[in-house]
Amino acid sequence: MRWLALLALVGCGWRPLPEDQVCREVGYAIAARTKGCSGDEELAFARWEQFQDAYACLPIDERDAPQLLNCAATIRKLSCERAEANGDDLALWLETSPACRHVVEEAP
Amino acid sequence: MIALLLGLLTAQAADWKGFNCPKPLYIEGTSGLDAARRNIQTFNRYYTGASLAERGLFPYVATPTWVDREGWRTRAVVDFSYIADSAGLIAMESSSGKCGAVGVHPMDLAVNSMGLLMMHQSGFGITVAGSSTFVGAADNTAERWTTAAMTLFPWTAFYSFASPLLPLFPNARDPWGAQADFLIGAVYDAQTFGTYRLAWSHQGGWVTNVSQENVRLLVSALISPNLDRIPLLRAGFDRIQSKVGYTTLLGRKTDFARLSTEDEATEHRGVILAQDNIFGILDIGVEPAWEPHVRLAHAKLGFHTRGFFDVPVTADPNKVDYVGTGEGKVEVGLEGGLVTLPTLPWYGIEGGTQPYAVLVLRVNSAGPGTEDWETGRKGELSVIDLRFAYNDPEVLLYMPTAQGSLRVGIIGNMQW
Repeated sequence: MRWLALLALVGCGWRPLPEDQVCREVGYAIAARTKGCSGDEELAFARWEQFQDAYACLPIDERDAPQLLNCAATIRKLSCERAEANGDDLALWLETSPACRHVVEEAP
Repeated sequence: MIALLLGLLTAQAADWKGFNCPKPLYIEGTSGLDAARRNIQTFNRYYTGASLAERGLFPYVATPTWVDREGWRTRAVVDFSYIADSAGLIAMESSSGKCGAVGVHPMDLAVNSMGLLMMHQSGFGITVAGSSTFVGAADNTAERWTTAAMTLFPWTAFYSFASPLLPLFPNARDPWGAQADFLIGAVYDAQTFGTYRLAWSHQGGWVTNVSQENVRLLVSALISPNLDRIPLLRAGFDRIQSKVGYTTLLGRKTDFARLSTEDEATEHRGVILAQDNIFGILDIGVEPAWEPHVRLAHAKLGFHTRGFFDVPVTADPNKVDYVGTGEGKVEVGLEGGLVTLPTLPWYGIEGGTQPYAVLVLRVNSAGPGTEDWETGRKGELSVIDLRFAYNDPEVLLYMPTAQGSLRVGIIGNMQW
């Protein structure tokens, strides 16, 4: 019976989207594209940390999440030439999609 | 006919990911979806495919002295696992009753692998194995577990049997449909001079394994098809027996999923240090790792009943026989500890340390009369494990998105 109870506990389906998930996805996307194009994990990690330090998450309405996730999705589709040209300038990465300006802002 | 059946089943498998009202729409370009897709392929290629050989067909456990026997001996291994919540996918959801709401939907995996090893008294042997991985995502507890038991178990078993044909079907290669792998290989047991195994895995490449039973030396590797990478490697001493139990000192390297065909895979590199069966009941171990960064990958503390390891280790390699009563006996093992995930932002994984727990119910049995092999009284050995694992470190090693997952598995190892 105890095991059945445990199975029930982990058997949940749907979970609400964490509040800052859309914003975090942007940092993950920059790291993924950096690593995917350059193969350089240290650089990918450094850009992810740079993103966390330099940008703050904006509050978003859950209903807008699908459209705002377009920011991360577009970054993930960047060509390697474009990713390389963006380099460490995160502002250039965030210019990739108009959705980005509704997701993050420069940290104060 | 088989092709038609396979085609139909593949189409059904692709549809099975559906839910109620209407199907949830996974949002492209999100970390969970991207990592999950790649991890499923990696998981199938390395964990269910090639490593079945390493985990089930090739290890020392329950290996009697094949060459002292006349004729053939056979080992069969079956491993079915259901991994609930192996990744969280951002989706336009429906199950909450609000069609169109955005949330995180858990993705489940059903994995099956089965293999056969046949050894001739000459020391030569052959091995074949098949495996399959299915993706699922249920909306509620009842759906999840009934589907796992009633639908996915027979499907994955069928796919594993049919795996040599699956690469011919494009749907079967869809990462959201079924993934399959098959393996075929040869073994030569030179006794004192070691045992040598070489197999070809359709998805993974070359599986090689060399062991020397007396000193428990093991070198096991998966080498990519074009021989330019070694995605899996284990080397060292595996379960050296002494008065204080079994000592393990094994280095291992494992690849995570690659992000693109040009990208190099992120690697896990660590050393497994374990002392099992202390006082017949206690297991301890740690795995320090230095790639992708320095950390304690996992630390374990386990307790088990006294007969937990008995059948596999009492087969004396210097004797022709192992004597059993023919009765099955249930043993219990409980293991817990901490598992530390690496920080891998490119997969959407921020790392951290989490607790894990594994409960194993094991039925060991050894058949009587094995000394009378020549008169046809074949003995049997079997070890059947029912395994419940929360945050299973072995699953997290291949699939780091599976934080908070529950694995329920049945693993059978039979020899006759």
